[in-house]
Amino acid sequence: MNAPLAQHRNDAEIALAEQFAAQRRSFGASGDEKVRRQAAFDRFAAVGIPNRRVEAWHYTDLRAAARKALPLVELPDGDARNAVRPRIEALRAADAQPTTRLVILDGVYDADLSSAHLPQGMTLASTWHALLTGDGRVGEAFAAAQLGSHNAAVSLNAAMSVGGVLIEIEPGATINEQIEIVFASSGLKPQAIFSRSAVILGAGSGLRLIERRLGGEGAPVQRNETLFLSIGPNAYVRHAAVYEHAGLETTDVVSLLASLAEGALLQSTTLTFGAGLRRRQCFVRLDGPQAQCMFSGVSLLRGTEHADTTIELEHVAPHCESRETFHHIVDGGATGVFQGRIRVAPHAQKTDGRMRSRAILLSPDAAMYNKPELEIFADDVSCGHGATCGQLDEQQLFYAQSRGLPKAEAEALILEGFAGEILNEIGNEALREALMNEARAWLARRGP
Amino acid sequence: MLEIIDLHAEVDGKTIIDGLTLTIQNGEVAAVMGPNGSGKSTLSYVISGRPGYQVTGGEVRLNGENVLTLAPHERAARGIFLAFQYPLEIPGVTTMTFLKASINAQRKQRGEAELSTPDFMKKVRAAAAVLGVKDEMLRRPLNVGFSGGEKKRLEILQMVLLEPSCAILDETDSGLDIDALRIVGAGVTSMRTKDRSFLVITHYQRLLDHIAPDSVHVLYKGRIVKSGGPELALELEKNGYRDYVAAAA
Repeated sequence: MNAPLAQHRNDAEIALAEQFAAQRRSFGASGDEKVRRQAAFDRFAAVGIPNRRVEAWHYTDLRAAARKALPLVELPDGDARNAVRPRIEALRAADAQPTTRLVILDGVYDADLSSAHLPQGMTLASTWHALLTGDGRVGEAFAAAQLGSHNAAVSLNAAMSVGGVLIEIEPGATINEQIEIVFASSGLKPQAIFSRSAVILGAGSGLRLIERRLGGEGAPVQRNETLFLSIGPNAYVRHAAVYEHAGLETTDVVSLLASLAEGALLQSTTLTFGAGLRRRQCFVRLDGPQAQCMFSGVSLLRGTEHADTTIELEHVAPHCESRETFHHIVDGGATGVFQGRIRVAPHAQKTDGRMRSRAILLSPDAAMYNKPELEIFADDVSCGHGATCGQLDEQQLFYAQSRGLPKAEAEALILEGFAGEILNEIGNEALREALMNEARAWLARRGP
Repeated sequence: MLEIIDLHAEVDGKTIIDGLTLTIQNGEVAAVMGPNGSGKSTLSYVISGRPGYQVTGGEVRLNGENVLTLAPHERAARGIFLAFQYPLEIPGVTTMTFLKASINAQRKQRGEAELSTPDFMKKVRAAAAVLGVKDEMLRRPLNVGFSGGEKKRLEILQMVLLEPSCAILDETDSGLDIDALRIVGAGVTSMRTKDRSFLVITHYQRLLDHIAPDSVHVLYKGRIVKSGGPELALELEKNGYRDYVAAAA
């Protein structure tokens, strides 16, 4: 545990306090929501922007990367929409199967860019709209889950977010169409984006969910966005996420929160490309017995990019299973971080938890920090972790070369396999192949 | 034709191959036998170009061309194939993908058109059937979770598909049961043609029951100390290497 450290408020923290106060004056969150937001901001302000002296942020110093708070985003206008529209249309054109696409543009749900029709069994609300009308469901859902509330970035997000979506899946409904939430930033001017979204699945329902963070170069942007998955009893989510390459002046903090009720399943696979500073932090709690959480991801980093995957997974119910398998390929002077913690509460007997992180460093300047942790307070569990970090295997390389593959092709094939081991977890073939192609395109850019 | 001429090679500054000379004619199957540590595997790696093996003298010529200056993939495209003693696993890459990438990489280097997928599949299926390689193995990641026998059969499958002009089999018999040995032997025998040479490295006579050699050579301390016909292998099986060890001491 870290005691809050007394430190000077920096420019960014002072600006954030002013932004919060201004937003509070101009924007009418009311009642409980107003109280929750103030409490969230107070939690943030007590510790400030996380820095390397905070153990959970030791390898990802957000405070150093964001010395100035960028202006809060303005409501997206036609220009912002037009900046993003070609990408959305390209995604639509490439759809191999029916897809309901919901676009969160500069932190706010954009109906114009989003699919007009929703599949049966699913309802959608804009959290912006909900706030305006005093609909407190989103704030209530987040507050009830109590996930990541000790985390300064999550607290700041709870205080500042206005936009996002609330998706509800009726009990027993299996949504056949895949749902894609696209997080886009127009990149037209320097700005800070906060949003939070929630997907709430009723008992016995099921959903295939894609989370795509659009990348691209543009004006400096600070993003802090949260996605909460509340998975009801015997419900499932098959989740695939793509974090596209974003510019070196982008700081991108994403918090994925998930709670799993009895018999619920979360299968989640992520393909992450680099950004100036990217942190994806997952706070997952297995609340009910027989819940299953299968987490995997591969990160492809180069240049001076930095990407951090942090997972805190809590087993609080007995007879649950969790798997975390993460691969990193780090080239150039890039930095990869994997922090994984499995915590098993005293009564969570018969927990089966495994965590594995492997990294391949392709350059002497590439860096990887692995921090796997187990905290086990129950006595009848099976848990394990492993982390490795190394160069491409010379023997594998020679084997492939001896079959006729030039060195660069042999390397690409082995690296493709390393990424493929993770992406093969995606059951949907069209989606798996689409993500594999994105990984291949990255590898092809390495050159001989 | 493979000509190894006064070859010297070292690993980490230690001499392993020390003046080795051996010629294998087209159509010839040459067996190289020798005690542990005599340099058998090193010889196979030096010919195929594994990094970390320094050639300090001599030449290796394939059909008249010195291959020692070529990169491993260029040697492969020229026709050198090594069946590994311990085939490597490549997780995440299916056997089928690997086979196709290998074949087409060689064809590309030789200026030939890539094989179409239907042609490739036909070729693989036919060869796989003969070697008892199941379809399911072809869809699995290369060598991952394969038994020792399956890995060796897959080496032979690769050899059949790549059609090398000189195949080196490095202790292909190790880890094989009798049935697998017979299948592997039949696979190699089916590949024997008048324009292909084989270098078969083994400890034991038993592989040579299935792949009848034309010549047998004893390798000791990095050089050939005796050459003869198939009867030499039988003699070694009976007496071991003690005569050669004693003579060299």
